[in-house]
Amino acid sequence: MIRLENVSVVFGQKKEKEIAAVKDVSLHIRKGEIFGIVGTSGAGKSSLIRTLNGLQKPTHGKVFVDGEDITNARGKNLRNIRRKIGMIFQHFNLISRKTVGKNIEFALKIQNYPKEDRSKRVRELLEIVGLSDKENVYPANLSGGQKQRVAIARAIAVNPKVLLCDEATSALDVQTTEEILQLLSKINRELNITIVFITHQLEIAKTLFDRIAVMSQGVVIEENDTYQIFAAPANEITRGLIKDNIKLPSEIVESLENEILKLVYKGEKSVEPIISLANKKFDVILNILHGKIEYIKGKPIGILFVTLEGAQEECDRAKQFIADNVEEITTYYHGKKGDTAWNIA
Amino acid sequence: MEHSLEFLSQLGKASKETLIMVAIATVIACVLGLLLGLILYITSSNLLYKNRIVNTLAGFIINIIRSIPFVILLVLLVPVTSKVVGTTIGPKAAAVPLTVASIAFFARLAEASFEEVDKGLIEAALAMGSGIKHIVSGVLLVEALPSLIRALTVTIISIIGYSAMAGTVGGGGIGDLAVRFGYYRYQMDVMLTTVILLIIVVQAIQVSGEKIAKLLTKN
Repeated sequence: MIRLENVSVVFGQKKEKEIAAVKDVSLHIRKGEIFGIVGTSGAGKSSLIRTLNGLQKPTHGKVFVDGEDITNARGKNLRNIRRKIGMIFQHFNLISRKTVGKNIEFALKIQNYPKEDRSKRVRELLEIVGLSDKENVYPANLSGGQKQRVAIARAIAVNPKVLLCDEATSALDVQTTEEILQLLSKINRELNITIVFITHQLEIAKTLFDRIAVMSQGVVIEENDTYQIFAAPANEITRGLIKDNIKLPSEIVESLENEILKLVYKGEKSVEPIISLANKKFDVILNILHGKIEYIKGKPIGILFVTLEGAQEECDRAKQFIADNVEEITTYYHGKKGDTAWNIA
Repeated sequence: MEHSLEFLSQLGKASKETLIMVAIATVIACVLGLLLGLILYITSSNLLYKNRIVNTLAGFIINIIRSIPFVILLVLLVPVTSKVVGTTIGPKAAAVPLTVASIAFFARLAEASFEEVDKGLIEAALAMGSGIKHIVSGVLLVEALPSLIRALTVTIISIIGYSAMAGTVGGGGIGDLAVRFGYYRYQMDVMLTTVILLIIVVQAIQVSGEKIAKLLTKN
């Protein structure tokens, strides 16, 4: 659906002051998927997504949307390609002096939607985004989430093939973000609109994205299925970004005599039976200190912090048993008995 | 009694003259100044049709007009005036330089009003496949309207101020009345009356301009 070939965006007219926001990015976004581009601010995500509808001309490279080259499109041709691509923004960008209905109608007008059908279409769209009662309200009287719904209605007004979301939930609270994500997911499924979503919020990636590209300093450093990105990040920077935000309080760690093990398990393998089995099979006491299970696109990734108590030999055997049955086992803390060195995995 | 009757008829005539001058200048400045302001804005915007040559040229001409003191502009434009209205005397003749000055004045203020419009709105319209026509009519003019009303208010008040100098070319008007009777003939009461009248008019315009602008603002 969308293909980027060696796209670079360079800002600054003078050679010495050039800043490359996007460097040699090639991506292929498939029809019907929700593709996420994540990265810290300044990674070049915004510049990249703007090349997809020609708001930003790439300095080098080519961008194809639905088979058409948008890179060199101009005038009427460019406008026609843009009509296949809706876009929503972090700050909604609604016209403050037009009511909700008029804002959507304006989108229809721009795209030559037949005049006599416009008011009917406006009502349909408001129905889709769940704002049927707000047609005659001005944007100033809406909440952030409602404003973004209007922006979504406006963006999908004339059935685009692609919806670009530029930090679309970054100005919203957690609850509202969740609602907007559900709406986008519904639009993706029911209207079969391909979605490209850029964000610095990884929480969004976990529920919404089918595939993810991770950007850093203008470069796409990793691209994979969402689950793979979280389960097995290949790049150091990706690991840094998705670093499990699970930590043991340092007082707890320091008060412990024993080694602390960090277990990571993924997918089908469930960890609970393994813990019980290890307890049963070996003469050890397995203590769970902390843990969590996360679901990425419906598949679990679990992390547990455990200590083993018992004779050294039994402990080693239990460790081996666990290691054979989980995805990853690392020593989080060596314990006072042995090596006191820290090993923050 | 005789004196005040004469004065009243003079005041009526002068008010009419001021009204004619200001109305002509305002209406034309409203259209041409707005257009010029739009050109200035569009040719300076990265998102629209950035054109340094047109922008610099338009800006340069506006700056020239604005840097000439109005009294001088009145005299300088006499040949133009006689070509346009056929005479160089009277309120209609004075309306010509007044119009020229107010076009330049309003163009700059209008440009500033357009600058205030959130760039994101233009990006959004462009992303929807909008051409310049819809961006102007559906975004710029709509969003900038309250600010444009304020700019127009300031412009009208300036035009009234300028019109006081129209007496130089026999344009008449309230300001001219104040100068002729109040200043040259030492009739302080006449001067005071005209000044009070001008204060009331200017206040009324300012207050209603602000009211309309507030009414049109939706946030």
